[in-house]
Formats: sequence, C-alpha cells, structure tokens
Amino acid sequence: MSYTDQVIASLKKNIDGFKKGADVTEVGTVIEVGDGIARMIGLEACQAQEMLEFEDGTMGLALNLEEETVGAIILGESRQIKEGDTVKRTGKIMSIPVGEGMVGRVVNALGKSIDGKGEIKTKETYPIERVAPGVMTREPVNRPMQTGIKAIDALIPIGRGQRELIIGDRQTGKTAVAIDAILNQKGQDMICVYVAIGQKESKVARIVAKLQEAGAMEYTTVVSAGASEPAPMSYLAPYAGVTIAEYFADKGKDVLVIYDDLTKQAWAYREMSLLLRRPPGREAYPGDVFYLHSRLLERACNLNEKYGGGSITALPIIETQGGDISAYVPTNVISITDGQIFLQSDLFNRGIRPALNVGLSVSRVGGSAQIKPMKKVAGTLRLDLAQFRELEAFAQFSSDLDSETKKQIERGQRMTELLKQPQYAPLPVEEQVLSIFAAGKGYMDDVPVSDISEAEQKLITFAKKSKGKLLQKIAKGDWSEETVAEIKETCEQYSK
Amino acid sequence: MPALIPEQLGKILYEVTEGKSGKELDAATKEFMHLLQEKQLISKMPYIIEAFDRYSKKQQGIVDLKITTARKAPKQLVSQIEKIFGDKVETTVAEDSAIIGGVVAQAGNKILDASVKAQLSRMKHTL
Repeated sequence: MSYTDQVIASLKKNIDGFKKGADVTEVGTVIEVGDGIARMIGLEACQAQEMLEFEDGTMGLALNLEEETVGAIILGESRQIKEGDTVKRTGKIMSIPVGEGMVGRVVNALGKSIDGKGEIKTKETYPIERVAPGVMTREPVNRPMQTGIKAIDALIPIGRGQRELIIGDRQTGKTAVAIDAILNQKGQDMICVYVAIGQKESKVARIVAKLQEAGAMEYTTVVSAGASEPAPMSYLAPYAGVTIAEYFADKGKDVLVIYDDLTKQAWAYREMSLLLRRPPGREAYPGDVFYLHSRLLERACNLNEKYGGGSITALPIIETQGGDISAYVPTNVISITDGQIFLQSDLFNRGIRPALNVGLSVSRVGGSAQIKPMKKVAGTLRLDLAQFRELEAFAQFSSDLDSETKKQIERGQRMTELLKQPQYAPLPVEEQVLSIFAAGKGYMDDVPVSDISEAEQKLITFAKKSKGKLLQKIAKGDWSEETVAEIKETCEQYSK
Repeated sequence: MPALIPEQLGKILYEVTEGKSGKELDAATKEFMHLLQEKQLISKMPYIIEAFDRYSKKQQGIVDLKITTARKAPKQLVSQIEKIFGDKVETTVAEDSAIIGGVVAQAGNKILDASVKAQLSRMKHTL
C-alpha cells in the first residue's frame, strides 16, 4: 500500500469511528436579549448553572429559573443572538479543563489559553462550582506559607490553607504584596494561581512579564478576565482560578491562589444581578453577595493526610474607597477570611513600603504555623513596635525625654525602618530571623536610622558567606540555646 | 414585578375562554382585550395568539410537529415520523436547504436533529 493510500485508509477509519445519528435535545426560544443577558421560554427541564448553546455556537450559563422563562448570561459575543433564536440545552454543568498543562499559561475565565502558545492539552474537566471540602477532610493550618516580606512573615504570618485578605486603597501596593508572595514560592514545591479580575490588560501583561523574568511562571497559572470583557467573565474568573487550584490540591500539592481583586467581581455580579432583575439590596448589591464570596473562599483548605494532604491558600484582594473598610463588600470579606493585611496610603506616601498598618492587620490562625525561631524574634518585635506607636507622638520632643523613653523611640524607629522592603525582593525566612534578631537585641542601635537597610544587607551577606550552616539550622526551625548563642556571636562579630 | 409575558397571557386567554361560546365567549375576549389595553400589551398580540395556540394544543394532547428537510420530503417519511408521535398530530412540513440533508423534527420543546449540518458541526467538535 502506498503512503497516500495509508493516509486515506486511516482517515476513513477515523471518519467511520465518528458517531453518526442524532439525539433528542430540548430547545427554547430567545424572547429578550441585551447587555450580555438573554431570557428565553421553553427549556423546561433546564438545570441551574447549566451550559446552553445558542444558534451561532455561543455558550450561555443558565442562572435564573423562573416559572415561564430562563435567564442566562451570555459567555461571549452577544451581538449575533436575536429574538426568536433557538437555544439548545447541553446537559452539562459549567466546567473548565484542568491539569498539569495549565502551569505556566495564561488563560481566560473559561480555561482557554490567551497567551498565544497554542491549545492547552488536558484530560480532565472540573465543574466550576464545587462544594467546599467538609469538616472531616480538613486539619488546622500547621505549615507556614512564607511570603518573603519581613513585616508579614514576622507579624501577620500566613499558613498553608489560610485565607488572608489584602485590603487597602488604590495605589497602596496590594498587588505588589501578592506578586512578592508568588516570587517567594520558588523552590517551595508550591503551585500558584494568579486571578486578575477586571484588570487592565497592560497591567496583566506587566505582571506576566515580571513573573517570567523571575522564573516564577514555571509554577504559576494566570487566569485573566480583562476590563474589556463582559461582566460574566469577571464573575466566573475567581471560580475558574480555584477550580484549577483544586485539581492540584486533590493531587496532594500546596497551592496559592490570589484573587486580584474581589471588589471588581462583586461589581460584575451586581451588574449581572440587576440585569437579571434580582432585587437590589444594600449598595445595590444582590442579597447573595455574601454567599458569592463565602462559597469561593471556603474552597481554600488544608486537607489532612487521608485526603492527600494538599492545601489551597487564598489571598483575596479588596480595594477600598478612601480607606473605608466598613463598606459592604470589605466587611463581608473581612468576616469570611482568617485575618487581613491592611495597607494604608499615608504610610505608603511616607515611604513605609510595604505600607502595612501593623495595628489593624491580624492573622487569626497563622501563628501556629510559624517556625520557632521566627515566633521567638517576632515576639520582641511586636512589643517594640507597640511601645513605639504609643510614644511616637513624643518623638519630636526627644531632647526633653528621659533616657528610657528615648531608647524605646530609637528602637522603634529602627524596627520600622527594618520592616521596609523593596518590591520584588523577598527574603528567605532564616535571613529575616537574623536581621530582626540583630535589631531586636540592640546590635543595630548604633547605626543611624537612615543606614539600617544597608547595615542589614551587610549582615546578611556576611552571614551567608561565613555562617551558611547556621542559616540552614534556623530555616529548619532549630532554636536551641546553642543556635541562639551562635546567632549572637555572628551579630557580635559583625558589629565590630 | 416583571411584565406578563406572551406565554402567560396565552394561558390566561385559554383559561377564560375554555368551554365558552356565543355571547359568553364574546364577553370573555372583550375582558381580555381590556386587560391587554391596561397593560399596554396589544402590540404583542401575534405572540399571544401563538402562545395561546401552543397552550391549547398542549391541553388537548395535540402534538405540534414541525418537520424540516433539505428537499421536498416524501409522503412516506412524513407519515412514518407522525406515527412515532401518536395519532393526534398536526404536522407542518418545511424546506430549508441550509440543513444540507437529513431531517429535523421538532415537537414542542424537543428537537430531533438528524440533519447533515448538525452532524458535520458535531464532527467538527469531536475531531
């Protein structure tokens, strides 16, 4: 048989293998369409969250099941759809492809690649809405998720499986904190999912470029629903992100998911709900806007050994208007999460970056996941900072103060300076411990405040060069007297 | 409350006129027209009549069958399909060259799409 014949035979075989015939499907008729929403009659047995297919192949998602009509959001271009079109049921619940192939890719809210690297090959699909893992499958947060940011890892530690809200006004470095957390996961056996909701495409492109440059795309998936895409995409994107994460968590891996930001998702959901004629409530949000976020964030979990031991850590971001954290959506998400990182614009403008408000930020469960050395040094740091906050107002009259108060102010200023950290420069936990220890024990009291970061740099370089073993010991969580003595010795050697 | 849709108005019309004739029927339809006027729905009349037709057929157990073929359908094929749906069948036969070949049978909300066009698009999906 010649080559062409073989090809033809193979083609024929493939075509023969194709299932012929027809199946009965249920149809409905579009009676109203507009603003990305379609209402139709018929479709009597339609399920909630079912995918519908319009005449031109566009997909829809049934959300409102009413007495006579079905309300659906249109996933894609709605200009081709007109009154009187037939709509087919597909019998499938909204789901997206998941798998190893997703890592390193940029996808849209439907799991389709948008990075121009071709189709993503995956074998499995997961439904976008899944019930969160139950009580018996979970265990308390007990392993740390290091962000590489001193102020966070020391004072508001995050554990694997925790949900920690990042909240603040625009331009306070919320995304920067999240991106640093992704960068620091390199070599930590973590998968990261960054969900960009209603963001400028240029910002997403910049973030992807940064991640690529730092080699972080090797373990990261970016889910993007751009500002130019219709509202349903922004609504679906976070669920798509957590669905991709769940695949890895089911395989026993640790995953970090960042939702940037949930305010925009709530806006998109409000838009859809109003168009679907659901009654508006406070701030015109529908009644179930709390459930919108709680069912998403409940899917973050720390599974126990029996269920594979995977985890999903969630870092949702909320943007406040004029520092108002008592608005509807911020209060909702604060009450759902296990703590919040509060970023303030006045701190940011004063040059304290990350602009963390240490007094208002909390982590309700992360403390138990901190490594022992960090727990020890963070205790003194917290005390120093709290005392400093009370005395800060007196700092201007430093000449009239007694030496004890003066000392506390000096210490506090140095500590605040130490917690400053440039963007894209996460620090490993052992180096954080070393520098906080040195400052807390007074080894940096003689250094002028403006030179603190330089001194810290030098100390770390010195320790890396000559005390590599000690750093390893700290990283493993060793805090025996022997180790402490060795750290002291290092600091002394250095300060001379 | 969202406005009444043709489907509901069709049902109302059926229920107010059911089993009535002569003067009674005239009075009922007049009442119905008043309702339409009040709700500013007279322009929706064609849709309401369509919905009324559908609903009354459903109530009487008549299956409204629509058969579409690419070329003129042979009588035998039509009667064969009619048989599947029982004796009370009202059939409309249409021709539409866009389906290329095969047959599409629609009964109420159910559609049996055995057209070549549908099969081709399905093949496109699976390959």
